[in-house]
Amino acid sequence: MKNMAKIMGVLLLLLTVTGCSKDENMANRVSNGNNVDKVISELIDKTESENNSIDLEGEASIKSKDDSEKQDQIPQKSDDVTMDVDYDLTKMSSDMVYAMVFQLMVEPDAYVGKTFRMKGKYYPVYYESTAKYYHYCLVEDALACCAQGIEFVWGDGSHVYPDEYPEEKASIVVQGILETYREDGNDDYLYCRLKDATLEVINK
Amino acid sequence: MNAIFSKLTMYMQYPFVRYALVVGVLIAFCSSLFGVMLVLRRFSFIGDGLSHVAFGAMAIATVLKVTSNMLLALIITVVCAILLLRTGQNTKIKGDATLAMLSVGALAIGYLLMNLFSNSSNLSGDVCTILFGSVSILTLTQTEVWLCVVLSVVVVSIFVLFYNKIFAVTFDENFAQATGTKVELYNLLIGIIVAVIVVLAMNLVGSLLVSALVIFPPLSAMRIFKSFKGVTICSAALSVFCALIGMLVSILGGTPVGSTIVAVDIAAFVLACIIGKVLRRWCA
Repeated sequence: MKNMAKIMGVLLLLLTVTGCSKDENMANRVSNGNNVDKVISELIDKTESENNSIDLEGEASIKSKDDSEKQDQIPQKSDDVTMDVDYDLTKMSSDMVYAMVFQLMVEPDAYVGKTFRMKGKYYPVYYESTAKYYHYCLVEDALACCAQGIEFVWGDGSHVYPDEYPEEKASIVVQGILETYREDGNDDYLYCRLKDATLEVINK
Repeated sequence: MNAIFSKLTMYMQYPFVRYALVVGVLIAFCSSLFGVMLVLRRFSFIGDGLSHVAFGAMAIATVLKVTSNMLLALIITVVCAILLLRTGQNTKIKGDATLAMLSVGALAIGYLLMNLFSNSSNLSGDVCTILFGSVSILTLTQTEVWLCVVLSVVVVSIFVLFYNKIFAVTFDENFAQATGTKVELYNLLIGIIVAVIVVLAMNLVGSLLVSALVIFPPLSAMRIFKSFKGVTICSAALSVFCALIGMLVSILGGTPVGSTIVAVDIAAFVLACIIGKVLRRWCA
């Protein structure tokens, strides 16, 4: 019994240290399902980065100047208190945000017209059928194996992509009013998005 | 402390959080009731085997794009449980080998099917969700919540109605048979109930961690109590308490639901071991 208690103590300690970790590497490892794909994608990334490093050396100084100009245009995170927010998802844990966004997708009508504020990663998506870029705030759960994204329209939609938008996968905070819409044409799907959204980039 | 309480109050306003807590508590309660019997009959591993079968069933449901994955998983797992119990005694491949074969076979076939036929953009995410539960409990539909509630009520009712028979079959199968109890029928009933519990518990902790929900509370209770009744009551209370604490910690701290509940179960087991030891020394 003494040994059993000791073993359980060590196991509990191990579980606490490893199981509840928020380490990025750990999260990525869990999210990668196929090892063959992982190795191939790592090789491709390595080759690309080697090629890019040669090409980019000359452009580095120009790009850094462009980036700094671009970052000046996007509001950085401030400590301003958000006004009239119905659902502030920035105060929720990742699992809860994921579950909330899932609910939005399942029952959008219950949340239309409400103001949402959420934190996530910026992902632009180009949709060939409409020949348009759509901008998403993507939220992952605690295991980082599931992700839910919500589309947003920054301001009145007049901002130019990619010049005025942040880098892909940048950490952002978006605040906007939820609305549903349908695309013109044969597309019967009902989409959700945050309209009149404000966009802040979080400095990490 | 106030900050935690206000955060919890905020979360409780969301219906999906309330659903998750209700379903979680019911699943933990059901699993612990039958867990006592499984542990006593040395059938602890059957939950693990059936959970892998349920994973295979979930994979088939995903590939076939069935509306209710849980319902199909329930049917397939119950059929496998019946087959496992029926063919366990008079076959060339004996009990534990059949279970191991079925367990790894279902796991492998399930993953293979999902890899070959699933057109999901996030295959690893789908597999991860089924294996570890992830946020399944927070994303239940209203139909799934009602299905969980109805099945839980059925499981508890069966346990209460057949308590004496289950007790007899658990402790001395031969004696129960000699006194006219239809042992095979009760074994079949137990198999079906365990399959139902496994499928329900998959929503809470995922298929890989189902066994923990079935085994840890009874084992912890056995450290402190010695009677069947005492162990069953303590196991149920402990299981509900651990599931509730695990879910609350997970919701507040943003940790994965399934593994947090199991971690709390492990902590409770260690605590029960210490309490049991102290009680024994005290009584001696």
